[in-house]
Amino acid sequence: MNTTALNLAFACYLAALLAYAAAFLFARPALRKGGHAALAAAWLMQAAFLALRWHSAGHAPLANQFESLVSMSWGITGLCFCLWRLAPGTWLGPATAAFSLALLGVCALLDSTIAPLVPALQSNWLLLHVSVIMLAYAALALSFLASAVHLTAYRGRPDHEAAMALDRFNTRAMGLGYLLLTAGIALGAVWANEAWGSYWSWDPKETWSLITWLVYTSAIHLRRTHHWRGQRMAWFSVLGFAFVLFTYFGVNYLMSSLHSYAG
Amino acid sequence: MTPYNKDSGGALTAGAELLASPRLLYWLLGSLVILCATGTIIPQGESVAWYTGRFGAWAGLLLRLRLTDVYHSGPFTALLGALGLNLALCTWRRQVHMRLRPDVLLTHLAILAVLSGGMLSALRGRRGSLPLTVGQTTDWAEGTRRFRLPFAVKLEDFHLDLYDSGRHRLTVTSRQESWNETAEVRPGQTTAFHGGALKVVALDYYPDFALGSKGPATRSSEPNNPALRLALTDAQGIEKHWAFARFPGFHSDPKSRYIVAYELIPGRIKQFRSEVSLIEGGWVSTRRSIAVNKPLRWKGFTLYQAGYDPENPNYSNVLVSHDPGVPVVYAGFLLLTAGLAWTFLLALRRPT
Repeated sequence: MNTTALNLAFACYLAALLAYAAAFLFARPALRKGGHAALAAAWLMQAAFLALRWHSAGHAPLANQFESLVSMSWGITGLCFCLWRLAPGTWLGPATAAFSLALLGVCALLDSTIAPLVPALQSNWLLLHVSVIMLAYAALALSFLASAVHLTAYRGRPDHEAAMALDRFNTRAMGLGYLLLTAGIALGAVWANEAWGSYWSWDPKETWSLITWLVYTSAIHLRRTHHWRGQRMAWFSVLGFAFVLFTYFGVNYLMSSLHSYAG
Repeated sequence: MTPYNKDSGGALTAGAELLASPRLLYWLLGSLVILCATGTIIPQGESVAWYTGRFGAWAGLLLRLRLTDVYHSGPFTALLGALGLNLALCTWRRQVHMRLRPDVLLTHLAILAVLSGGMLSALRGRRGSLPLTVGQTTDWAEGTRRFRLPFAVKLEDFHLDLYDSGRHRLTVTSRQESWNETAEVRPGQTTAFHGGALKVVALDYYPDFALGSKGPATRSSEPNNPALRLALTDAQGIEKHWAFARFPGFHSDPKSRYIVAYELIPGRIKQFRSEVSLIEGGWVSTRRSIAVNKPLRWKGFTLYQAGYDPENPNYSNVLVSHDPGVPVVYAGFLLLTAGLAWTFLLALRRPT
């Protein structure tokens, strides 16, 4: 399949990153608008690529790791625009551009062939379950990015206004990611019951999704009942995202799973 | 720092206080994470001999600690039970707070529903398989606990649909020039080997080869005995060959200039489905098709298309399940998602 739209999206992310860097290095805030425009163009290019792939394949582009990773990167940029109003300072655009660029770089290493769907994936639940999980990962990635900025730019300055605003953003992105992760796991359980005759089989992918959910459950309760804030919560967000990455990548490559077709 | 804002209304004993504490919650969540991860690292449900072969002297310890069946072990079940108890007591102890935050109450109750549904599934659920060949009828499900169904299931037919019929891979070895080369061929087309020195035409493909009264024929479209009739042309002339995927070397001529080995790479599976009749009191109640993602529900039981045998096109493995926990778990999932959505929307409106 033609990957021109995806290559253009990659170029737009790179252009966005360069524009943000130039705005910072040459103290030209006007260049930031160029970065925003390039980021929006990248999102549109990715949307076009996903739409074309959906049309070519005849199914939602969520059937293998290449497709789901492109969708996740698209989700991160989309959510970045949705949460723009909540994000303090100027970090969200550059961080999103850099992260999405890295994800598209990883996509280049994956098999992008359109393969016909195996019987287990021939279901409308594919779109529901995988898209919600990918959006959850996208929201948790934004929570991770806010935490990474917090831990690098505002380390040791817990009372700095920007640090507190980043903490608030982290909480909201994590809350959204947790909600979507819960819904995604529930949708997956319903689908598993339709396809495999059991809503829970302790398959490694299911189990690591549950582990990730338990980790974020701890984070949300630590914030609520023990008032964990600032750097401690940022570190927990980084830890939680490590579990997300292991569930998404690690399980596919290191463990034998009923979800092996996702690899 | 205020570690925990408990309501004064809850009259609990010291033991119950501990059971309702968030600190216990973190210990339980941490322990569950460790046990869950362990169950994905150590292969589960294998035989004693398998563990002995794989882990040697450590196998005994793993078996004693039930780390070979973590998710059904006593400690794991106890942890889930303790989590449910902790959640219930914590919710009850903070009842004043819960009245102010119905979203949190809903979320906690939903998790209790999911845990209850899971317990119901474990205690009252039944799962088994119906290994059937076409024409066979059974009302017994095989599994860890064999059980009888209130109806009999007859496999009327089984279909395996493929996206393509497979690929034909030939390895040609030259007896005279000592070279061998592998390439894929297509029936009716010419394929060049050894830089074009040899041209191979796959004249005919017989998926299920048999010798009939009129010569070579195919019994069915299933690849039970794949065979290719080939024409090999080189500078010395034409040689005709038969190549059998399941019987390499069969029908080969020792005087031939070439040895041909044939491998059929099976086609990709599109879908597999069973046509079944459900029989009650000697009468056929219904006749339906079951496919992957299209189960059949009948009188509290669900029949799923689970598997097939590539060697036997008449065999189908149908899974049967009766699980009263499913509606409870689904209700829990629904309420949990609703509760968390409510919490998220409230959080957007108020400062954190």
